[in-house]
Amino acid sequence: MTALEATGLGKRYRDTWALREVFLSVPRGRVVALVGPNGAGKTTLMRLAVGLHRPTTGHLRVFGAEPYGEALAQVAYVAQDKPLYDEFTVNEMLNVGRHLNPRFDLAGARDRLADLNIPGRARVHQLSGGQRAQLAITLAVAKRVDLIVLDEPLASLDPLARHEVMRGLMMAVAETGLTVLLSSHVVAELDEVCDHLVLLSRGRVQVAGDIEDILRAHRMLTGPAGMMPGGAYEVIGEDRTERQTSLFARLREPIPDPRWTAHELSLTDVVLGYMRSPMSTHFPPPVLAERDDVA
Amino acid sequence: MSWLAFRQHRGRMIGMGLIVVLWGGLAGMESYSPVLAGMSAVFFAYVPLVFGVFLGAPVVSREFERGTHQFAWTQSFSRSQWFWWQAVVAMGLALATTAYLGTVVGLITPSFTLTVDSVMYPLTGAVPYAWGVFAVATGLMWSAITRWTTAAMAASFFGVAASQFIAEGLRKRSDAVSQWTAENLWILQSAEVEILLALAAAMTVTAWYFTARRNPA
Amino acid sequence: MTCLIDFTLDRKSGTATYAQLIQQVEHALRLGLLMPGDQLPTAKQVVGRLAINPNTVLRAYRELESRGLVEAMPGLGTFVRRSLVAPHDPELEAALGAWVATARAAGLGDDDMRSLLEFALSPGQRETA
Repeated sequence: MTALEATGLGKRYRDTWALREVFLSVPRGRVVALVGPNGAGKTTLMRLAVGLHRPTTGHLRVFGAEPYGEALAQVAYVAQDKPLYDEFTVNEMLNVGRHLNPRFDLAGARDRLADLNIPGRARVHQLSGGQRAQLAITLAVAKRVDLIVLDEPLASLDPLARHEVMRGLMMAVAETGLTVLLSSHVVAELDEVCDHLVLLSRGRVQVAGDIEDILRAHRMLTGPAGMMPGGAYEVIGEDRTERQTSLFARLREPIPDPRWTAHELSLTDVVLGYMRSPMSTHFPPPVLAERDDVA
Repeated sequence: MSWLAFRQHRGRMIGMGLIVVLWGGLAGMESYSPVLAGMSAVFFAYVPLVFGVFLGAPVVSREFERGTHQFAWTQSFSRSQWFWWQAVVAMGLALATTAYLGTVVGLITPSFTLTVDSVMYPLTGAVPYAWGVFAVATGLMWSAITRWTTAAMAASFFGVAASQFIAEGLRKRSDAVSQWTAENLWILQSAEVEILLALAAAMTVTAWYFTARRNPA
Repeated sequence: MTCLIDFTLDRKSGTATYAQLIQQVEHALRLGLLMPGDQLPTAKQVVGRLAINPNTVLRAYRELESRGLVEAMPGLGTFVRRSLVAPHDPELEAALGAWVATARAAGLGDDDMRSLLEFALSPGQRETA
C-alpha cells in the first residue's frame, strides 16, 4: 500500500497557487526527503498530509484515507519550530500525548527521554533546542503512527544535536518500519538518512523517486566542445567552455562514445542540477496513481 | 481531550479563584459596614467583561500565536472535538464562577422587591448565567476570527459592554410599555435569557466554523 | 548485546553508504575478525551508532547474503556463513615480496606501487589478463 498518494493535488491561497497538479506515490517504509527552494510548497504539502490544510483541487491520501478525523491517528506532525506548550512540564506533555492518542506508548516515550537525559520535571521552555526537538519527535513516535511528517527537523540545531535527532528518528524507523517525510533545504545532511526524494519547484513536483534509482540514472557527461554524444539520454543542464562541454543528463543506457566520460553524481549534485533547470521534470507518470483510483 | 482543556485552563481557574476570594472579602466587609452595602452587586455587572476577555478571547488565538495549534490539531482527535472541549471548559468555568458569586451576593443582600432597574436584576434567575455564556461566546468568536489575542480581548470587551448597554436600554423600554411587576418580571427575564443564549450559540458556532473549517495560518 | 564489529562511515569518500558497509564486512571477513557463525550487528545497533537509514543496513546485508557470505535468520539476526580469509600461500607471498623489492630497487615509491597494483586490478586489465 502506498503511504502517501497525491492525485491532481492543488492548494491555492487567495490568488496564488502554493501547489499545483501534484501527482505523487510514496511507498510504505520510505524515508522521504522533501526538498526544494523556499516557497516551493514544502510546508503546504506537509500540512495537507496531516490535515491542517484541505486541498483546493485533487486528493491527498495517507495509507488510503484522507487525513481528517479518525485517520489523524495514523499520522504525526512535527512543525518547524517544534510548537509545544511552553508552560507545561515534560511529564505533562507526555500526559497530553497519552490523553490525546489512544495508542500512545507512554512507557516507550519515558524510556526514550530518560536515554536522552531529558528530565520529566523540566518545563518545556527550559529545554535546549535539541532537547525540545527530541521531545517533539518522542511525542510523535510514541503516537505509534505509520507516517511521521517533520518540517525542517534539523534547522537551528548544532551538529551534535542534529546527529542525535537523526539517530533517534532512524532508531524509530528501525524499530517500527514507519514512513518518514522530512523537509530540509540542506540536502547534504539527508544523504545517509533518506531513500526517497521529492523535489518541489514552484508548487510542482520536479523530481520524485527512490534516490538509488535517481542516482543511477543521472550522470555528468564531459567531452569535447562543439559536439554532443550519441545515445539515448536527456539533457537537463549544460555548461560549455572553449574546450569542453559538460552535460547534466539522465541516461537511458550507457554512452557508447569513448570521447565522453560519465561521472557519478551525489544527491546534492542532482538536486542542484534540477534546481538550476526548473523546467526539467523527472517522475514516474501519474497514470499509476490514477489507475489505483479506479480499481 | 478534556485533560488538555482543563490543564490549559489552570491559569484561568486560578484567576477566577482570585475573583471568588475578592468577592468573598467584599461581601464580608459589606455585612459589617452598611456604607458599602450593595457594592458586590454593583460590581457584578463587570464580571461578564472579565469572562469575555480572559476566558473567551485567548482560547483559539493563543494557539495560533504560539503555533501550538499545529500540535493540538494533529493528535488523534478532530479539530472540532478540540474546539468543543475548550468551549465547554471555558463556559463551565464561567458558570461555576457565576454560581458562586450569585450565592455570595444573595446571602448578604437583605430581602428586596425585584424591579427592572434594581441592581439585583442581572443577578436573579438564569440571567447572570446567560450573560456568562454570552460573554465567553463573544470572546471565542473574536478569538477564532482575529487569531490575535489582544485584538480579540479588545473586541470582546467592547462587544460585551455594548451588549450590556443595549440590553439595559431595551429592558427600560419594555418596562415603559409593559409595566413589569415582581410577579411577572420572569417573562422579561426569560426573554432576555433566550435572546442571549441564541446569540451565544450563533457566536460559538461561528467560532467553531472559523476554527475547524478555515485553513490555519 | 555487544557488537563484534563496529562500522564507521567516511562521509567524504563519495562511496555509497551501503557499499561502505559491505566493504567493511568483507574486510573483517578477510582479516578473520568475523568467522562463520558470528552475528553481524543488528540494523538497530548500526543505526544507533551511525544515524543512517536502517533500510541501507538491510540492503547491505541482503547484498552480502546474495554473495553467499552471510545468512539472515528471521527473528534472530544475520550470521556469517563463510570466511574470506585467504588461504596461506607462501609461494605467492614470496613472489610478491620479491616484486616489491625489485620495484623499490627501481626507485618506485609506495604510492607508485599502489597505483601499479590498482591499474593491474582495474576491469580493463583484468579482461586482457
